[in-house]
Amino acid sequence: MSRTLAIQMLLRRNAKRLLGIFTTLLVAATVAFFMLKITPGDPVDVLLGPLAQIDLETRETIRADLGLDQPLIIQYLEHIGRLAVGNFGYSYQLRKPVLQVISENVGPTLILTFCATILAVALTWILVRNITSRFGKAVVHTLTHIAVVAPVFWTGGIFATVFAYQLGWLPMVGGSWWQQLILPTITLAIPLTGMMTQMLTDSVADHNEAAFVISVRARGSSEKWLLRNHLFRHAGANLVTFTAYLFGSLLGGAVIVETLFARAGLGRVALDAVLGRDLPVIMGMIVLLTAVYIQLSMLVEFVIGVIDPRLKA
Amino acid sequence: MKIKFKKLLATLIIPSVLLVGCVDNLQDNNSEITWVIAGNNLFNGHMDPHSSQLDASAYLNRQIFDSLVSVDDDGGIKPWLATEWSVSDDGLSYIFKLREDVTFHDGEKFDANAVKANFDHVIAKSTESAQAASMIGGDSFAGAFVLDDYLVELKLSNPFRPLLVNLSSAFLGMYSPKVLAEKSQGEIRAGGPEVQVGTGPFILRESVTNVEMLLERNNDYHWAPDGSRDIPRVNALRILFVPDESAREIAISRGDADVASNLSGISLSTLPAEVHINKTPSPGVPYSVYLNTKRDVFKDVNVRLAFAYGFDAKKAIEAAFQGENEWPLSILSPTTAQSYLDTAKGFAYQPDLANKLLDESGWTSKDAEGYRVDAAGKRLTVYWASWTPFPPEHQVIVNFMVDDLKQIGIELIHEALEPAQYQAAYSDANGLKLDFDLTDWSFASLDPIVLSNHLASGGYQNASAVSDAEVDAWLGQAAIEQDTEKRRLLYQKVQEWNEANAAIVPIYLPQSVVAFRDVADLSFDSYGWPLFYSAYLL
Repeated sequence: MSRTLAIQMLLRRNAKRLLGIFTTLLVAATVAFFMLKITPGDPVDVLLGPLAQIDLETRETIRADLGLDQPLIIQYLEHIGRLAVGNFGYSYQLRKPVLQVISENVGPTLILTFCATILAVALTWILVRNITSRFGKAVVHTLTHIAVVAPVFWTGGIFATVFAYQLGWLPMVGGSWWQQLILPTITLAIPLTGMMTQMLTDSVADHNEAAFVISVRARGSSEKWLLRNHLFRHAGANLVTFTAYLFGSLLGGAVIVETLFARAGLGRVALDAVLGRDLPVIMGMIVLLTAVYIQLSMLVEFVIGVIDPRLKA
Repeated sequence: MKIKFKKLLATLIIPSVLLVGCVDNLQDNNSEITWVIAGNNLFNGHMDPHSSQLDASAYLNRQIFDSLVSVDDDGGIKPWLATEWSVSDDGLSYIFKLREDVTFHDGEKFDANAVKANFDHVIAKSTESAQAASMIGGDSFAGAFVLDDYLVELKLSNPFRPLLVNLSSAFLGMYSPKVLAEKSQGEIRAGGPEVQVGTGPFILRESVTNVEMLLERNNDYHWAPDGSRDIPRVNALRILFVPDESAREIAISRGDADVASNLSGISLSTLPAEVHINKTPSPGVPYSVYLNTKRDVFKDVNVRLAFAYGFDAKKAIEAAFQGENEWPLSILSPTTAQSYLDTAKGFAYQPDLANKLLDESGWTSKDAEGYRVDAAGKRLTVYWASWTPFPPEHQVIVNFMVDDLKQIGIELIHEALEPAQYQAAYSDANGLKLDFDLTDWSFASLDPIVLSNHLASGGYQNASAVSDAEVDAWLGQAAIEQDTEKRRLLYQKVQEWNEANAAIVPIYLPQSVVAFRDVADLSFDSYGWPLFYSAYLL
């Protein structure tokens, strides 16, 4: 293959990818925009609240200030146009630039999500290593079921009551940054662990009767060796994809934990924005999260290639 | 492998426990008060007391902003930033003499020009004031005029009786004129150390959205509302925003926080003995349901009265609050200044009377489920829309009401709507829409003028859609009446009118519950909101 051809191919491949990214972002932003517009409720009224003593004329002024008096299609084109040039606009509610809102809150959420994911992966590893015995399998199975079905507000409440209130080991509010991180991390990691463990055990079970497994067993290998060196490797690719997906969904979805433990974060920002019909913030969040997912999927592709070289080809 | 696992656990847990222990011991008593509040809405553009109507905006900003006057426990007006004042006989002119020794946190001088700048800000269209403007009379407020460096006049086009008492509110706190001149209204609403600049006992130093605010003592402060000349006794006040109530309770139980606000009172008995509680019934309109007198079945006063007498509110609030909140007899709280109807009987549970009223109105047949139906077979159903978040205690009350009302044949359907949905049902571009039979809220107010908003035709909170010439006349006269006794009688007439008409059905008396521990000399204003200027840690 000549050098120019190689460059051409690279460009074509990346152009395709860029187009894909652009289309994904556009679709996400468009869907979000129209979903918000068809739900009842006016951002100005929500902004002011039901007990606000503001006359209609002033309400109209605010509406005009926010550009909400424009026809829908103009509003849509304005939002998309601004996003296209990287201008995320100004939050209706917080009265701050959207980029500032996101950058103020992204740190705590990233740290929490990262720690919870790491903890969940570690716990999953510990749990799944025990599924070789029938008893171990039963215990892991029960634990993961509980972990998956227990709602986060409930487990969070239990942890707060036991570890902060009863035992007094950790502060409920205040304290150092790492003290503030422990209970939210564990709370958030529990359902993740449940889901990851279920996914991994299912995947192992799927392959348990595969030809290569029978052949390894026939060579007299122990079950543990089989699990560690063959089955995990097969299931690993799925787990990486799944973990990345969970990580992405947590960025905007840790709202319950953030509220319960009074942490700053994107989850609370997103919830407030949706409730308040704060369109610029919602659009900003969508663009951010979509971008994160795209990044993650690229990372996943790379990691899977390392784990399972067959997929690289 | 089991041994390894135990080792792993040990390596993870032991250092954590040790570290937690160490950090606990390191926390010293460095005279910083930690105050946990719910207040998570504040950061959504509600940091400006001149434009926000949220209670939290008032009680948080109270620590930063002072007012012209203050109110004592008996409802009397006392000097604060104004040393004396005079009111003209026609009630249209208020002249205030100001203290000459007051400076703002940014070094600006407090004088008549600063006061004028503040009132100009309150009434400016761009401020979009949701409460403060109406507290100075709304359209009746004709402006603030500088008479001298320390002499300022507030003019009204119509008398507005509650002006003085309202001027004591934090909603009418005094900003540094520099902030008002240099910052946009958007910036002022968002707040922050550069913006929330007053003359108050504490200076805002740091603000982290949805998490915390750090206030430091104002070392120049010697104009406290109680007349003391002492600076605050603690170095700092740290305000933590904790939306979850149980988290606030745990925080005060553990001592992570010294003061906790926004407690509903249910689990107060479970708090440790060292936690003290201050309960103040909120003045103003109790938590009530507002029956839409212009819609469907509630057009009939008999049906409204049957509804009001048809459920046992006392039993419901006993279950919801475990005896911590009282049942109100009238549509004003007994703590509302000079207006309470002492003879109020309230809508006590009388199912027989309710049944009789419904029979009289022709709702005599019942369907298979026991609900009353009209001649056309249409069920006697009322739809109640609430604003979310809808507290669990209120849900308990709803459940009791649904059961009781079913006994007399009324079907009550309750729905807690998302804020935007609620707003769409509540009002539209043409004004109040009231697309429901009833809705609910409480409204704190030191002055009974709050009834004008709720019951006068065109009142911005008239969710009962009342338009009654007599009521309008009483409320109109009460707003300008200078004689305290005459004014009291007018408000008592309005309360009697409601007893006969059931436009508003009071359910319980809300109260400000503040828990505190190891804090002395914490004081409370008339709303029961904490004031920290004299407080110190034990």
